Amino acid sequence: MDNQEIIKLLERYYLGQCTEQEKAWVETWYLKQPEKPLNHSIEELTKDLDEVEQHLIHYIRPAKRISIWPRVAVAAAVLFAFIAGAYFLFQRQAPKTIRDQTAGVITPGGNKATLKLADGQQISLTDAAMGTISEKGGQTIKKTSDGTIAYQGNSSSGEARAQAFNTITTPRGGQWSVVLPDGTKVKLDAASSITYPVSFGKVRQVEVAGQAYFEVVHNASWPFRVTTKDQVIEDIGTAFNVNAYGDEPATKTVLVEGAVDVFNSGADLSKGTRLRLKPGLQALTQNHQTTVSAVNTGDAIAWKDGYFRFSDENIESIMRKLSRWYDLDVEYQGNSSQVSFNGEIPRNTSLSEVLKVLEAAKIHFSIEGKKIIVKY
Amino acid sequence: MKAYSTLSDVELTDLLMSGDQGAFTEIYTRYKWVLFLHALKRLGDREQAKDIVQELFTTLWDRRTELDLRSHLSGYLYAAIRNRVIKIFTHQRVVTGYIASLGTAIHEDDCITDHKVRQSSLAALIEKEINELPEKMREVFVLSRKHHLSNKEIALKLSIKESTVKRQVSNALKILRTKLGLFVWLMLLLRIF
Repeated sequence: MDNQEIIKLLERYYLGQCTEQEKAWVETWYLKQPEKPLNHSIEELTKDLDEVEQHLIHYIRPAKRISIWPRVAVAAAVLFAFIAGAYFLFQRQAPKTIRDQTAGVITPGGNKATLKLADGQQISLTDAAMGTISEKGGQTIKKTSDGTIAYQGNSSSGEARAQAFNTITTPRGGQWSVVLPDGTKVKLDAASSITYPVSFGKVRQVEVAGQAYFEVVHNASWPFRVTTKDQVIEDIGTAFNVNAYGDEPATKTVLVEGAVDVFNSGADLSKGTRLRLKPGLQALTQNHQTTVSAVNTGDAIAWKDGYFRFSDENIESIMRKLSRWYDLDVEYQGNSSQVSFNGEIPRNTSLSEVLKVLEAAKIHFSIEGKKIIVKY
Repeated sequence: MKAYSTLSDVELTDLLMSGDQGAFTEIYTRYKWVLFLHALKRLGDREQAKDIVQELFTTLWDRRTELDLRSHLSGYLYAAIRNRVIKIFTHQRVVTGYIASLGTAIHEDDCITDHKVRQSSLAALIEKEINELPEKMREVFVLSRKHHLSNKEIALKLSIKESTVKRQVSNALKILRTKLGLFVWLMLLLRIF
């Protein structure tokens, strides 16, 4: 049998056209084939398999999707033309469309927050003047820019002050950033809060509700630990996003850089199962069960750069985000819709423009005061 | 951490056929290493090995309702990876060393004619790859094998008629003994009888 015949036989084999005898030949031959040595590290191979997994996860997702990209572009162009025209014609008079008579009064969120000091004093960060807000025990809190406060200077004797907690709370339609006493940066999304001691003890421990993005100043001997309703996240040197809203079905931590360990809340941290996240992975906790999967980190942190980013999201999930940013209550009428959305919208877009984009998917809205009704 | 990891292959297969994405992901997690390492050692090319693993699983998903996997998920996956490797051999007509050896294989009479013995031999060959991995990564697969063997597999194996297989088995063992090492070789015996 020459090589040409052998190739023909193999072709017949994988086309399923072999006789039983030929099949036996090919399969026995296959068993006897020599193996090539493995020249790659387990890490490289793990990366390959993770890539395949990510591809497969996308592959098996349900197909019905609507892309809002072109519509956003059109809407933005129309809006720009409109604003430019209105500016020249009416100077500072606000543009009005039919929708704007109702939705137009609803503006996007901005830099708003309150700070609660250890003694219970409440300070509106929104209204505070730039510069020093508070000075206690050698530590100052400064409003360094619109939307950011920073802790400067060490508070006197650490362990005692580790019992003194401050809390920053954002309302719906608010966001705020803070530089903590150790230099760690945190950005809080709307309807969220973070509680931390004014001086960290042996563990830098903070508590978060809602959504926050962390850039932790790494110190191997000084762990940084974030507690949320479902998860405890311990930093190994890191940037990560935590989404732990009470009205979301799951708590999600997405790692952008470095490494973190994630535990289920209430677990004994010395014994509990820790999941080590690598960049690009998300730990999702639902009903006390945590699963890890590969995600697009850009989707998870788009909010901190001023965008809504939807990736196969259903209308309910989108409305939860809008309700927090535009300070709205949401009601639904009719059977729910299976449509999912993909795309990005700047968070400073007026509500009416956002709704226009969603209405293209045959979803209708009406607004009564602070309440928005979604009609499928 | 999800309950999928405790399901047997048979249960996972049923869920897969009903379109359960979690079951699909678990099957991937369970078999990715053995399939990938096997393809890699046969082809010696990381990209090709990665591609055929990906292709194998997208096909598994697309055809999940048509395939009769119920009794033998591993058998299906192993045959699928073998056939894809063979396809690549065929297309790479340059690998003549490999292909030429088929010419000689055919003239020898140590050909394994019983397909169940070939199937078990292939399984043993592929599953031994797991030994290349650090212990932690082996765990998922090894545990799933324990579940699997304790269920339907055993019943399947017992249905092979001993007398007709004996000579086949000795052929298979002759071929594989040098490759497998004692432990896996014993596993193969267990698989067949």
